[in-house]
Amino acid sequence: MNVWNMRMLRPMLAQLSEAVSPMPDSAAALIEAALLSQDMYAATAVYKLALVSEQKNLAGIMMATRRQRLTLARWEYTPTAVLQALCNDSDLAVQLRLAQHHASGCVTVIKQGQWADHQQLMRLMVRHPQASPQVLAEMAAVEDDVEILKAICRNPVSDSAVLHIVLERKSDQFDCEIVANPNASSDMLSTIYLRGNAYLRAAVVSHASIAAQTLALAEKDDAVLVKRQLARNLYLSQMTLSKLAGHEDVAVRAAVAENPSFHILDHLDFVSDSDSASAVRRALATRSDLTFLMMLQLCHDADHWVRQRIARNPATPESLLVMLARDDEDEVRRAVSRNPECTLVLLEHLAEDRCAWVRAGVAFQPNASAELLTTLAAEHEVDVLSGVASNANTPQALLARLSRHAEADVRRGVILNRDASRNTLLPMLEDPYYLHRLLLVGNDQLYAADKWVLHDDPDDRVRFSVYKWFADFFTKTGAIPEKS
Amino acid sequence: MKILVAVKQVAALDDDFEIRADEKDVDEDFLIYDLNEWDDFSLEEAMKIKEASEVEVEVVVVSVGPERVDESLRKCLAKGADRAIRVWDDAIEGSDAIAIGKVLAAVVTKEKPDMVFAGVQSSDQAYSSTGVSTAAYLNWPHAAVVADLQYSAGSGKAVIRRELEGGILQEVEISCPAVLTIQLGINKPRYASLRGIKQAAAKPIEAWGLADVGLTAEDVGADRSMSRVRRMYIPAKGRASMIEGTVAEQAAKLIQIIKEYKGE
Repeated sequence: MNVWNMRMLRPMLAQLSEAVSPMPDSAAALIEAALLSQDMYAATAVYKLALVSEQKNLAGIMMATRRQRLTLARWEYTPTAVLQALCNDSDLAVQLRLAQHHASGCVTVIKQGQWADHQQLMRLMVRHPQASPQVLAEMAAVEDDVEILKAICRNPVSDSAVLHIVLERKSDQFDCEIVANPNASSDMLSTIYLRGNAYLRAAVVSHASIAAQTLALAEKDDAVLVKRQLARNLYLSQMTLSKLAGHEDVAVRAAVAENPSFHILDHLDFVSDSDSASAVRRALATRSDLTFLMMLQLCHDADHWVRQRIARNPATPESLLVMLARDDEDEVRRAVSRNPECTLVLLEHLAEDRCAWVRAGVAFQPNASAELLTTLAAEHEVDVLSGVASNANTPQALLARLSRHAEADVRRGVILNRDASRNTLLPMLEDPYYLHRLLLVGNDQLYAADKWVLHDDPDDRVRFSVYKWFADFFTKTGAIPEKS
Repeated sequence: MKILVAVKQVAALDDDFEIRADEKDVDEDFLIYDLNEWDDFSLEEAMKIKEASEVEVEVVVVSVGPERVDESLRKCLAKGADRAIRVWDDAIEGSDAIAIGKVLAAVVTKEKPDMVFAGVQSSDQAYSSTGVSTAAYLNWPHAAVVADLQYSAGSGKAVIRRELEGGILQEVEISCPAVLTIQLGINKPRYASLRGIKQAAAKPIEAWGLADVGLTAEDVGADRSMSRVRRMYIPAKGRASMIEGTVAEQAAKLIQIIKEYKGE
């Protein structure tokens, strides 16, 4: 179908849509439209916006059958307000789904309700990101179920007071879980370090709350696992880092190489050491403080992944990028094309590369010119065209052509292009792939009236998104949406 | 020229579900229904033949099932199928793939297509028998697991490639009309256009009973099936266990398990 036909079709479809259900100009009108549609997804989207009396009617649409209640309790898009309305459902299967739903606030009331002694529900509740720290503390004080206590310790909602209760009651039984919790205090970590095996000591060393004294102990620890974590620490002395830089374990040396606190310029031999493992050199190649000679050496490395990382490094000077743009390995040349400092001249050279993946890297480059993108748009390779479609420098006429491409990946590039105009995007409201229509609902270039065209879309998620967009709009502004 | 495509609406399970009180199936409230993935490919293959043909080709989709199956048939209409037929009678309940094959064969006898396509299997029951049993009842040539098809509408022969184990392809010439069970990946199924979906909503779906295809209740159902479901159940949990410990500990244990598995 050519552009001219699409341009005729759009207003016809909009008129048809308006005839079916006119665009709502108020929250009340939106809720009325949802009620009239008898569509559970529309009802779900507007539920929070509605008055209590209207919510009853909406609930009648949303939760008429067990199947629908189960669906809503599981559906990733179900808003918290609707999940809340399901909280008192007497169906255990619904409760189990609610307890696993990330947006469900029902977990805060499970303990008070009829399910208070249901073991499976309790296990789910204590894992939930919305669990109450107070309830977790109460349970930590009395529970003996191992799985429940493990889950309490792992839950980031559990603060140090909760963890302390478990530590006091159960000694070392849950050290592993406590040390993984970001809220573990430095005292707890110190206790665990002193009694733990090498794995636990290593986990303590990697924790953000480790005390200076514990760190000092770790510096004397011989265990390789501990050394590997130690080498990552930003507060180590240069003396300690220097020692670790000479460690026999490759992972330790690689961790030092990656550590931004390590003064690489004081350790020129670290780069020039030809016995150094490739893992170490790969880590070095990502640093921003290398000298030109260090980079030059790494540009000639036998391991192409070292060269790839140098090619991708924004600190790599142009002269070295030019050299790497002629590398035999596709991955290296592609890394040059993706380097944010890659010049237009170099991009023009890489745009003629034999490998489509390299040319695609050019197409995605924010530095690529409109002329270069127009040249690349003559290609047939989907990866290249996807890059052109998503590039903000691509001329609008070209985007309009790509918006009609047979490949969904190319069309999606246009939708995700922040500079795609409303006129370019409008015909895409007819795109056969539901995800594209869903993305368009959230696109700021389209007017409210454009989005309303999708209110009776065959896909549940699209319809929900349209009603949700309008519900959020009326919640924030209360104003009449702008029309075309 | 006519191609008949047998499709099925399959049931997918969520993470949690309940078994029905009669222990013969999953409680329907926990099932999510959709068109069988293999049938997407077989319908697309029929559409490709239709669009490439200089003679007119009618693509007819047929499914055996209750009213909820209409949703999947409309999907097929939205993708370009010309007609849709749904066959159902409560007596069909409990039929196995062989009994369903008998029903489909009766539809074929009535519709007289030049080719019949079906999916290799369904994603829920996975018997891989329906298409082949249909061919058996018709006494037609058949080929299973078709990964490539060279066929012109109205031709008396087709050349197919069958996908075998180890990545081997077997090239076969088959006389037509024939029943072919189509494998995943033979083509790239199209999305239904919005216009197609809206038009399909208004198209009629022919609802046939057993009498419409010359069968009776005595020909179908559990009693006329070669197999019957005794029970469906969730087996007791096996020997799987969680790998515990810190991340480094878990990694070390995982490496140990892999080495043991490899016999190192």
